[in-house]
Amino acid sequence: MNFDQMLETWRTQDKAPLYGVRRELLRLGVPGEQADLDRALGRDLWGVYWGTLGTSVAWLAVVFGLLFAAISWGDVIPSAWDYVALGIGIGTILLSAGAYRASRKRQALYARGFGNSIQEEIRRNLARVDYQLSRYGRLTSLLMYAPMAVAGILTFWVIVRLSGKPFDWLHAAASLLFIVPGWVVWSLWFKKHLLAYRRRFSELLGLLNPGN
Amino acid sequence: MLKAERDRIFEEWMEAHQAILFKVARAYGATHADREDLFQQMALQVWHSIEAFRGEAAVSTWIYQVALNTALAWNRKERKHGQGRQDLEAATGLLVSPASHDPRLEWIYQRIAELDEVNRSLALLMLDGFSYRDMSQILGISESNVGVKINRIKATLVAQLAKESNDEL
Repeated sequence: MNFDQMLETWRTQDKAPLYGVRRELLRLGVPGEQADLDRALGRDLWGVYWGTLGTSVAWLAVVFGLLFAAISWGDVIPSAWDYVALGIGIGTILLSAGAYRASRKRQALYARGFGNSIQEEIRRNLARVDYQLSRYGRLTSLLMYAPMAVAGILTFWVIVRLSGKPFDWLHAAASLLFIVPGWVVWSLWFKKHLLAYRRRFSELLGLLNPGN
Repeated sequence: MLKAERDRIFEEWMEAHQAILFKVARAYGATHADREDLFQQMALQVWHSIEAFRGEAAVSTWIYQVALNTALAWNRKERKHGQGRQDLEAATGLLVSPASHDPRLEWIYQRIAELDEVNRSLALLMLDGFSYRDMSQILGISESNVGVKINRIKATLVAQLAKESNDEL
């Protein structure tokens, strides 16, 4: 076989395809994949919202509900600090929601400004990964996870108020010990995956542009 | 765009250009299960891309671009999970192979599989007769870069053809 014969052999695939497709399976498969994609995107969005914000909101609603119920029943003497604590909780949640929204907008901005070619698509993905990596240690990143920590401390505040004992900041800070290590482990795991993606994208760019 | 309209265009495109997806799936998937998985992923991405298609390029060029892009991303995913699945595992019967294979075609795909992922894309485009300009637009690299790479791929293929000229090929 010479080069021309090779091209001729290659073209036979257009007349006699390599495979037949079972259309009914493809029709089933494409919407199925679509649903998988939607679920994956949904997990990302709702994971942060409900994992941190949603849980914190529900948690604070329950503990402060208990506190104010106890106050209304006369079991606990009301204090202005209860409202300050509630204000801190609501403020943290609002700040966190704002930080998350700003982060999503910034991420979308990073993904713009690229063309349609495969190289541009790789660069777009690389920019997304770089943006995610750049968020480590940023205040906005910390703010997104702050509601859990604040909810922990405020829960401790409510428990102390219900028990009638004086508030102990040291014990309140200790509740962070349950939250911070989990966040650190998750961050390190996530970072490792992002770095693997980064290496891979850079490798592909290197293959496209060997001179660079 | 209405879903029914998108479905209609998808059916039309698949009818006319599914050979592109077969070729890319065959070139990038190591096993039959991998090829089915990749074919399905590419079909999904083609379906998604319909709305973004503005008619600035030929449909075949567009589909090639979407397919190659998906194949490169799919390879990344497979690597992340370690390696491709075994042939019989998870094969859904989506793709049905003909009873007989042309051994020469098999030989070409084996040579393509030996190339790195980017050169594999270029080899497919070259064999399907795309111009350097089209390849440059699809991959986003300069035409001169395409030329250098294509010349190397051709030289490799010609050398391998010469080496095997005494065989039954």
